[in-house]
Amino acid sequence: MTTTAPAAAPGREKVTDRDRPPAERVPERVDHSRERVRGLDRVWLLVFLAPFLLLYLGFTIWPLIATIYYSFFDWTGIGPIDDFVGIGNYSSILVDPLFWLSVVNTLVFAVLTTVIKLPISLVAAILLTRKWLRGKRFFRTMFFAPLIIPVAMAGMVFTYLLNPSNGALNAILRDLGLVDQGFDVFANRWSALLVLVLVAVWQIFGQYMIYWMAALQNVPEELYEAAAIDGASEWKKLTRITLPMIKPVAVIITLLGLVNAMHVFGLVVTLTAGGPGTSTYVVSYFIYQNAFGAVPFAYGYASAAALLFSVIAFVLVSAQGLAVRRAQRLRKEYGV
Amino acid sequence: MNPHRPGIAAMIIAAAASLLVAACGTSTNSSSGGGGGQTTLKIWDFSAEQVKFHKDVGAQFTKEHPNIKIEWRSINQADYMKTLPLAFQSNQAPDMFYWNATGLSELLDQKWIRPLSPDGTVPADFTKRWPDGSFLEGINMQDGKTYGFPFTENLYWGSGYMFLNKQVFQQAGLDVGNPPKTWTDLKNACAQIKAKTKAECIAAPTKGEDMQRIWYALVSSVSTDEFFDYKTGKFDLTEPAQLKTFAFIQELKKLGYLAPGTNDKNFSRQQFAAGQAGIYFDGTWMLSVWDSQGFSSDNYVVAPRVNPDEGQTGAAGRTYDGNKYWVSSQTKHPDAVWTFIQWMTDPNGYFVKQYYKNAFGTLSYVDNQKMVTHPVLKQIMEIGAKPGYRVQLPEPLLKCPDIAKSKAYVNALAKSPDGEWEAMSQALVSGQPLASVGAAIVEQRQTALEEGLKQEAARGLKVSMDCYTFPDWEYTKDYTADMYRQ
Amino acid sequence: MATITQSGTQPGTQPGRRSHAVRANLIALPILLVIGLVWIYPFLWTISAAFKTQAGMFTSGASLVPDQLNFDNFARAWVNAGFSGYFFNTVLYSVVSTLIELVKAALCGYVLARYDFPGRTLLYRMIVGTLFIPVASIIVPQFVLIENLGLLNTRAGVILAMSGGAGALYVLLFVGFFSSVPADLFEAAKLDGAGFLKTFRLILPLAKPVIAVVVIFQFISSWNEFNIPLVFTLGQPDLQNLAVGMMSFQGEYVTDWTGFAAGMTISFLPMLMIFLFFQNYFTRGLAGATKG
Repeated sequence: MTTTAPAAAPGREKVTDRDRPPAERVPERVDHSRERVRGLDRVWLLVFLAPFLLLYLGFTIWPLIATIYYSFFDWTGIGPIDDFVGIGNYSSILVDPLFWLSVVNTLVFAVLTTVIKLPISLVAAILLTRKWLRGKRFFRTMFFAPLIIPVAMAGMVFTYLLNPSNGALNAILRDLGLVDQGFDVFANRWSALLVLVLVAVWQIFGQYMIYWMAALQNVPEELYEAAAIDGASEWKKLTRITLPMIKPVAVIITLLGLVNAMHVFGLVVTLTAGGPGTSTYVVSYFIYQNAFGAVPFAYGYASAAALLFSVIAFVLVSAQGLAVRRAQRLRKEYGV
Repeated sequence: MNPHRPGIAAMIIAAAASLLVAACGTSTNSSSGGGGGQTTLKIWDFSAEQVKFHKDVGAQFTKEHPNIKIEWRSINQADYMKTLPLAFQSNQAPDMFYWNATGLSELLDQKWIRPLSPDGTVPADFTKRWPDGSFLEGINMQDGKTYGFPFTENLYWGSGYMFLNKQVFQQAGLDVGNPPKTWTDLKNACAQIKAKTKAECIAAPTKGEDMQRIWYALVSSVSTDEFFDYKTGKFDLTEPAQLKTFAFIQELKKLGYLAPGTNDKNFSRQQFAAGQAGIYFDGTWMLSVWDSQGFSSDNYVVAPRVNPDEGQTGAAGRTYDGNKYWVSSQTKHPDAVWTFIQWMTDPNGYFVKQYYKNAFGTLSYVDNQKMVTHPVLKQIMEIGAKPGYRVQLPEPLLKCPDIAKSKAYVNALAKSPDGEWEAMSQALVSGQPLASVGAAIVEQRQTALEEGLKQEAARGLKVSMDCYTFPDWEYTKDYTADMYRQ
Repeated sequence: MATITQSGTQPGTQPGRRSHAVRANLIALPILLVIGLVWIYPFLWTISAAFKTQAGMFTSGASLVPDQLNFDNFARAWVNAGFSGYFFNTVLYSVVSTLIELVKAALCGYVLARYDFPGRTLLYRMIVGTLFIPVASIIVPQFVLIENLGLLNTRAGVILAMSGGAGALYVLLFVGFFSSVPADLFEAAKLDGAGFLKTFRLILPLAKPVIAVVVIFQFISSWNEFNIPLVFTLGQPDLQNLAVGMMSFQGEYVTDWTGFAAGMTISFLPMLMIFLFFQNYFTRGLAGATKG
């Protein structure tokens, strides 16, 4: 098999962009389908970009620059910024074991939640968009519901449900005879992290299910029809049409999944408060504790931590992206 | 003064903003403080349970002073610490605010406060409302001007009390009138509760800083309940008395006498209120907390904390932390604020009456023996007033006035603010000895303090570790004002 | 239930397929129902807590049945959290910021996906890169900006700040969508003589699924947004929203969980409505439009 074109609809002569493997259309790559603008269109281009650019400059770029600026000062967030410490904040963060523990926890959390939530929400999205399924609206609403609960409330609910003395989980486990004594999931770093991951997946699941549903809508119906005429099985349709077609959006959804998970904060505050000890500290919690946890606030230090982590995360995710792309290229070259 | 310049981006945004705002038709509502000649006082704090009370006293005050309106807001504590600094930075601070995270010198340093009265001095008939020695230079006075006033008193008000659930004790065949007094008593009572009832023995929260509930109650019978020992001038988490106390908590846990789980305070309090635990350690505020949850005070009794079998060797510390409400430097109505402060500190006034009716606690400008009617609050006062139960801690500021300008101590606490609690929680779940888990945080704080003081001394401040060391102090005795003069 | 009737009357559905569908339903429905019930159990627990007393909430354990039908919590939520007053603000903030987010993300995403211009790659990379900044760390500079614009304590300031931050995510979604729209559609539009704007107007309706995603999420996140309304209306508390109001249940010494649950239960209805309405877009979507 030398071609990776998966969805070659029979009977079509004109090779359009759609028939090309999706990997070639991963949006950040400059491909020739993208037009150059000419004449009056240039004005329109600017008009289209302006609203986003203005807000982006004001609420993302300028705060970013300000944060970089603050990170070179020993600033409490109050009063004049005049105590320049150069890279002092950075060098003390680099040797702060708690920061690195937070980084590791955050990455473990981000990877685990992403690995769990993306596939199962995709399965749910595929199932809940089947034509034959009844009660779609009802089930979608069900899986969507946890997203509406404020994080503080969700944390409280799970603290109650998971409590070893009278929580629902332990009651069930005990009734089933699986445990004879209350099991405290928050007493151990790894079980506490796992609970954080599972609760986070539970809460955010609906969001990814909807991302996937939107992506699935992107697959032209006629491809399925053509495949049906060819007598392709459901499984074949899934692996040969659906999955390759949603790949460009999947890249973005994965990115969002990782990035959002890296910003986890509220659940950590309400479920573990970073404990036991400091073993479930995540970066946002570390930043928060430094920026607002105790007087005098270490706002400059927190800014430096935020930036440093952004860079680490960016590097790791892009490295992973590059590796995937390289693998894809190699696969194509060798025709595997 | 303002370090931030808008910059080009901001100007572009401004243009876009006005466009967008016009397009979306959202009006910018900014007219505040309506009617002619009326002053609105903004007061901020973080006592959500007192919202109704604040509304009530505000209304009464306006009835008595028709041209002053009170707008009292409660923000929850975590957000308060974040928003108040922002409010000051952007010139929209309230007229009066609650703050107990730092003392007078930091507040002056940050330029957040102004004297209580418009001209800076307060009349004798105002200070007379408090016991002698309540207004001290460096604590709430500076250069003859008065900036703060003690709000809550510190003899009874605080942590370190033991609450017993009547129902559980009855079921276990124990007498709440004869509460456990020693560590062994406590273990025996727990054994009986575990054997005869379905309830847990001690509801002890151990999540993060909530660990303090049981810790303060137990350690203050052994040593000082601060993480800093003023007798030796050392951060003391890993000192023998602290280790001994912690080992006892570990023993309680091992014996199954602590309710299982890494719970927070809300959970443990409800566990106690629901009759699922017999004993809970906490502070004076518990009666209004439980009242608000419908768990009335005839269901429990308050008892003194338990001592080690060989007797009490420590006490809970009283600090000069009663100064809670401050007048904002940004207020435009110093006269009105001063009027309000005089009104709220009237020992026979409406504010005081309602405060005691709600049993929120004990105020320092009130004759508590006379005013307190709540039976549990009375019990608490009886316990707290016992000699050696709660003692006045030494105050470095009164020994070395230059400490007011020193930041070494707060800086030592600022890094990993919850460090001690985190070490204890770590040691508790892992079963490791506290001595090894807590060593790092003690070392970090001690070094930060000593180094900080040295640097400040080099810059000409008269500060040293000596200011923080009071070898003549005994853990169970008040460090009285005359002891500073030596 | 348009989707269900539609599936039954789908032209070209053969009888054999239909019985196949019934069988699939027989297998799928019970499984989904069981998983679904477990899934929303914590959610139902929260709602039932809104009717419980504090003690009842604690002692009822796993039970969803309230110890008594207690409406005090709702009364308290209405007064304490100021629902009556904050409701208007919440609706206004959510609707307007959702509109702004939608417009700017759709426009920008369209251009980024379809056109090549100097700095395009740089802009795209920057958008991706800035996703990684923890949001908590940039609220102070945002505050400084709004202050310098003179928009503190105004509704416009809150809305601007709300619609300023999260936009990058939505742009990426739109880029992903528009770059997978078949190129022949654009060619066709061009052959019909459609200009820049006209083409966009033709293509935009195809993006309904993405539009629905953006609307649902921006609406929910602005509905629950807490930091921005709190910080940007310090001097004017009557401009706050419900989420900030609900935090008044958390005090220094005590948290009123049942009141909080009641507040949540009230504020959850509008969000559910938004979801029910906009999820239609997931079922209609592109299928018909591509042929037209």
